[in-house]
Amino acid sequence: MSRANAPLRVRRGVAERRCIVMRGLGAAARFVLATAPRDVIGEEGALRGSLLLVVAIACAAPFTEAVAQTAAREPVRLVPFEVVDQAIPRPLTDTPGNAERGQRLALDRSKGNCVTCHELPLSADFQGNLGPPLTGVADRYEPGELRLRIVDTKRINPDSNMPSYYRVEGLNRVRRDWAGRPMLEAQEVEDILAYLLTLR
Amino acid sequence: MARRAAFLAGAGAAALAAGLALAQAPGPAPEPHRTITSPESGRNYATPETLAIQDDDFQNPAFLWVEEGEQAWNHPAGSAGQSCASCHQDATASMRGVRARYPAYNAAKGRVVTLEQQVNICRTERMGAPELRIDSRELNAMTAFIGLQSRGMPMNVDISGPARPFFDRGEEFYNTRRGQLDMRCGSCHEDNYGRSLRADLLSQGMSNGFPTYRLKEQRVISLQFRLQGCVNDVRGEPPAMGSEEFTNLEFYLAWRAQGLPVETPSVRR
Ligand code: HEC
Ligand code: HEC
Repeated sequence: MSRANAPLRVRRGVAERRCIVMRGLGAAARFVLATAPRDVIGEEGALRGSLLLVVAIACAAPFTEAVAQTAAREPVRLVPFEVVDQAIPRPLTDTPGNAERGQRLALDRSKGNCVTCHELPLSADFQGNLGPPLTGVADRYEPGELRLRIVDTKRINPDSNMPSYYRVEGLNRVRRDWAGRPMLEAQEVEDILAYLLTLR
Repeated sequence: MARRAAFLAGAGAAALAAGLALAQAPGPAPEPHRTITSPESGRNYATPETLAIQDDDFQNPAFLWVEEGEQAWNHPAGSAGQSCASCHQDATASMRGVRARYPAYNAAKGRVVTLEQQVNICRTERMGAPELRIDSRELNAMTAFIGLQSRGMPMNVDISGPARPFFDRGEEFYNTRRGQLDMRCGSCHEDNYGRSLRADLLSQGMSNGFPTYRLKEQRVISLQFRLQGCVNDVRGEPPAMGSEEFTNLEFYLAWRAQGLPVETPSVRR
């Protein structure tokens, strides 16, 4: 094998592999398209659907635009929940929340972003104080009360400036890329709740 | 029959309501409610480092824009072969106080116009020159130059008479919750100034320093670019720059800042 050929072959190899990957992604995107109404909206399928959406967004812009528009037209159907005495006593999902994941979500700007408004007992470059510090919050509230505060705190205080993380109705002129989708998935609500329950 | 009676009753109620509205019509509109009675400039919330840049005209990068604006002021543009100076001569005299009283009601247009829009009206209707894009470098240079001529003068917009409905619409925009985060402008700038959102110290969201040199953007930005940022941050669908909605909002903001000194061109993080 001559030296001159080697890089070329490597390059071709990469190109071929990329081609296969792209074809796979194309198929995934088509799958999302074909199953979007059921899969993205369905309760159990919500996470899987959004994962595929992420893949599709990264790789197949023309496809995803159609998906995003579908999502914007029809609000995602949320997992049903019951509010009892200013609390949601029962978990939104069967999988127990994961506190470690919850902490990451609380810091993530595109997810909970809680630290933008609340001080948390961890090290972060900057912590906000538009809301009260969350240290000790598990001593002050029952798990079900905290769940409602994440899901839709406006049911407790309609004038609150804290966003409702699991709500899609009754909002005004939501940015197109978020319209009809809740800020957090049901499982992410449970994960953040699990993290809050460590704050004693 | 019953339906007819209901219709008549409804019509009667409507007529009564219209009569009441008419009875209330005369006299000036009541003074709008001021949530913030003693406004504070954004400079009170800026870091000493940022203020040091703003307070030294030789360090303030916005003065590059001011210089460009001054050159454009004297430079003929468009088919009429005229410059701004052809009509307005010396800007230090003719433009003094202009920033402080804009946006303003324009009787010919039958609506409120921003300083940016007024520049474009002059360009298209008197100079035969194309409009400058809102928030473009050329237009921000011109408004920075014009704004500087009012530096230190108190903001003083006129919301009376025909201007009032535009003001009211701006006020309504300001107070309407929007976006996925479901916040009003006042959620941050009335309820929470002095508190922090991560690294940002919230100010009262006053407009007296615009256009401003924004360190993050490394350029002079117009007020409506900043407003798009705020709407975006609550994951709301931002109106276009130059739109009627933002023009009315800018009008309301100017009234909120009434009495504050014009600080154009300010510097912000
Ligand atoms: C935009 C600001 C904002 C964000 C973002 C925010 N909150 Fe809040 N939060 C508030 C405010 C303000 C309050 C005070 C109570 C009220 O206004 O209803 C509050 C109250 C709370 C409380 C009750 C605390 C107490 O001691 O009474 C909890 C729990 C809470 N938030 C959790 C969260 C979690 C978890 C997140 C992220 C997933 C979050 N918040 C994101 C503004 C915010
Ligand atoms: C989620 C919080 C939030 C909301 C809601 C919000 N803003 Fe802001 N705004 C900010 C932050 C952060 C800044 C930058 C720091 C500062 O000056 O407050 C800012 C800056 C500004 C400034 C520049 C102030 C200066 O001196 O440079 C203006 C004007 C302004 N906002 C107006 C508005 C208007 C009008 C709305 C509603 C359409 C609005 N804001 C909604 C967070 C917000």
